[in-house]
Amino acid sequence: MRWSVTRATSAALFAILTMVPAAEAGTIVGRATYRGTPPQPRRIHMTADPECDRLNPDGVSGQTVVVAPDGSLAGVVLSIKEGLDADLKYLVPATAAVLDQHRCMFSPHVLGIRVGQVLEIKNSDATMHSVHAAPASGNAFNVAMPMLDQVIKKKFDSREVAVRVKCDVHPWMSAYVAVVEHPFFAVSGSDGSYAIENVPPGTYTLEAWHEALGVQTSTSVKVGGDQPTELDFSFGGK
Amino acid sequence: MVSDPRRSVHNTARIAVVGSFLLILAGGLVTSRDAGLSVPDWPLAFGQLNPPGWWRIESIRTEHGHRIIAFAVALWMAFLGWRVYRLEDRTLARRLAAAGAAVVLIQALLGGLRVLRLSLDLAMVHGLVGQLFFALLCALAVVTAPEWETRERLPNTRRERCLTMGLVVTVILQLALGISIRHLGAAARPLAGTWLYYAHVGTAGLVLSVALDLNRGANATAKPSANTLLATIAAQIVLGIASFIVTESMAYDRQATMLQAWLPTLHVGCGAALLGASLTRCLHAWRESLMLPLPRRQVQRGGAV
Repeated sequence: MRWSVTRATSAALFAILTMVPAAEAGTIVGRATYRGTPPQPRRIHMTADPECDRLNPDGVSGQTVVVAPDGSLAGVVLSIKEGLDADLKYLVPATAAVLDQHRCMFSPHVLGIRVGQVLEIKNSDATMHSVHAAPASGNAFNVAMPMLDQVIKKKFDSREVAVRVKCDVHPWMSAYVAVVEHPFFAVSGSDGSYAIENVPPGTYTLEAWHEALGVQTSTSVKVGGDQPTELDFSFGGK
Repeated sequence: MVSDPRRSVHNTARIAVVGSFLLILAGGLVTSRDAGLSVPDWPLAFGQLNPPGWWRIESIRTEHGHRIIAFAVALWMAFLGWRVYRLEDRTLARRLAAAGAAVVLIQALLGGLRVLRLSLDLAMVHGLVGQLFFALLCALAVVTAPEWETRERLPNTRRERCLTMGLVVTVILQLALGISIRHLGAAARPLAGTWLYYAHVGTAGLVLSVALDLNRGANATAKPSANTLLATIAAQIVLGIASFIVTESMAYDRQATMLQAWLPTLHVGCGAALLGASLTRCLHAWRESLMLPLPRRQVQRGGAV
């Protein structure tokens, strides 16, 4: 009972502290794209583990650079880099973010979480996995996950876009966890689109990060008013 | 028929050399397949002595297999140490056996700490100590040979002794550079701006020139071992070039192909063989200075020496 009251209070406080009046809050929307001819995705065959091979008999496509036929680029982390009031603190979500080891791949491949937020890492396969991460801030870990439905919980204590997470049992398995100190971030979907909502009015600089294509920083953009602010990022080729 | 205790100790040492060479190949394969951390705990594996199904998954098979071979070699080393202690009275053999027993324990701890502390630095030290352990066993096999004291004296000039010593040191340096290159992976590639590859190639040239020099000065007795040394160096250069070519085409987030795993592993094994051959040559060159027996004690078992 006491626990649920605490949770409810935390949730209310989170809502109060992070919400900006609807009339003032802004949204940043846009799309990440790839210029030119994208690299051919590598085919990953999982013969090194019979269980993974059974789950993916034809192999799977590599997830490093995922580009749709129209050039939309998935897996780009977009976050506000400059312009936020440094004195404002944002409550960390009480709900955990989930990184699943499913069919011998990490799902999702790119994930955004908050500094201090719980990350649940799950093994949904009937084979042995491990989870190995080495954040720049230290506290590297490598944990065995030999059991089906095993869950471990981890937290990251400083901003880092992005921490690479590997399974050392299966060399093709990797994911990236973007750890951000505020709630104003998003990861582009398979259509390349993203939306960062509930942004306080102001002028901001955004950063777009991709695991293989590098980092881009936007020019200053104004947020606020009725219309969302549009900001696109274009990566890659010639 | 009375067995010769020295011959039996020597044979035990020779088996240890073969075992530790296999261990080096197994360890090299762990690095080639980037499987060093695939079993995240130590001394257990996934919380067990022998995790079920470990043989089916390539990376776990590689790492856990390496641990099993290491355990067998450590046990054999303990047996060898005990036999040397009981049956040998030559100072050098007893010291080498004691050092071997100590190094195998240190090596096991280094391997465990490398896993528990996720340390790349310890992985590199572990790789080099493995090579030194192999060299130590080679030395023990050489000096426990019954003919060690009776073999025909080689014409060892001061220059030759210095050359053989220099060769051993250069090969160890060469191995240290190679181990660094393998563990640092993409960060050590020539275009990454590091000097490691260039130093590795440079010291290879130095090793070759010293071996050629030794070969030129060798008499009929020393010629076969000098030729073997040159042949090992030639094989090592070919394996090194082939390894460079196949690993340069390797994406580091994928499983290594058979060639990508085995060519660099054979390069590591050939490096160990080169170290063993160089050290053997060096020991023979320095033999007169090394024959410093302890006061003879009565051999306790297996007959008198």
